[in-house]
Amino acid sequence: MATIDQILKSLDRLPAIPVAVTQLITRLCAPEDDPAKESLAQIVGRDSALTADVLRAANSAALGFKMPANTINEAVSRVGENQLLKMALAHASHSTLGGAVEEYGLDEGEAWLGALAGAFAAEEVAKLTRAADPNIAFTAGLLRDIGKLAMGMVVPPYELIGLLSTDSEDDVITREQKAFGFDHAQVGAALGRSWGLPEDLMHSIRFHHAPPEDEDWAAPIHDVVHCGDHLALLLGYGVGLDGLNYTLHAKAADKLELTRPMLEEVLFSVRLRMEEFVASKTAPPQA
Amino acid sequence: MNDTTNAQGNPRPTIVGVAELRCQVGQGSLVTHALGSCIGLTIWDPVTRVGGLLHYMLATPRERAKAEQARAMYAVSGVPALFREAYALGAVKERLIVCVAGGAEILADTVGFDIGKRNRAILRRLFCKNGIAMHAEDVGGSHARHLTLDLETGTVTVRINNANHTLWQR
Repeated sequence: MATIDQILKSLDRLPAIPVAVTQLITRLCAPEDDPAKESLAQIVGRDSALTADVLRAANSAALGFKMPANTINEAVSRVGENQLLKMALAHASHSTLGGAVEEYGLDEGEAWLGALAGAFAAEEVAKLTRAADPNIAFTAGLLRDIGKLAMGMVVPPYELIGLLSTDSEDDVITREQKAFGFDHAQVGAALGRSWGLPEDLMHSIRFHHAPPEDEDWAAPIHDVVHCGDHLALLLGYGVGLDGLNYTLHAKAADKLELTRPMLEEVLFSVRLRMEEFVASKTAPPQA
Repeated sequence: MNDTTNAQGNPRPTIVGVAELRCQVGQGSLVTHALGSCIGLTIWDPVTRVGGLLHYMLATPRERAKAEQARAMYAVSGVPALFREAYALGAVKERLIVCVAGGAEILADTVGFDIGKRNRAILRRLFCKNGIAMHAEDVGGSHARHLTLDLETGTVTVRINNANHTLWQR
């Protein structure tokens, strides 16, 4: 029986990812002292549309600067490289994540909002619990559902729509496994591999609905991304035909010592950050 | 066609986002998308055609400052604000048609965060305490819902999985 990687390789077309995204991910996930890492200005500077997006975001009223930054380096000095890298990654990923995903009942832009909400939620959980690197949590949260982009290419779309539209006692992952022998998290990891994403990131995508307990695979980042995914669902971002039909694993929340007050704190922060980000996306460019 | 009308010249729906509220008089519709565990609450006065929609996220804030920063985020601050805005536009409490949708749960929340359940419970308490009658509701389960209030007719529609159903109509 063919593996998911082999199935993906056999397809004529797959969702594509801009070069800037993989470069930004490499930069975000690189160790602080890596001498080979590129600067944000180098990466973003190769793409004029992305440069404009990042400057617009950096200059948005939400960030409260009186004088606009005119260059990426100026923006970095005001906003900080870490924050700007994440803004850049969120903008750069729009061309991949921004379309409709009909098999999951997501209209144009809804999958991207779901990706952003999951990214912000995972980052906030990582910060609050200090369980994982917030940059890696953001990146994994953003990309966790890329498998949904390709599911309709590896299984008959009408079968997937039927599966998700029918009431069931099983969660979506169990339904996909029973119907196709794999789920969208596995497809996402295979797609990420075809894009050349770092191996650790693929594991977080693979395990975002089922953080492993086996000590060979278990890692706090998987628990963080899992909880971030569910917080995005609770807020309704990126929720389509699959609804909230997933399993929130108690062990993941327990290991992070994530309490309801902490969860409510994260929901509050995610909502504000979504508002800021969407406002910066639609803000007019400054002269 | 302009910014407020569609190709047929009808008013465009006003989108109410997560943790937002909006009150308007008599034209077009208010709509909120993708209610997960959040609650969508609509009120409508059939005489003045004042209508409002609130999309709140959580029952109560941990700190009062948070409710001041984002009143529509919480039931305890958002619900009174919605009613106050409607009264200011001419709505009368005794005439209001009140409908509720959302408050869904993760299918298997083995942690027991119960955000949807708490959101539903606080609303019942607020209504009970203030003598507000609920006319229709579609809450719980594990579906995402879209909620629409037609300001001219008062009809309230819920969409689940691309299928619309009428929650309330005259």
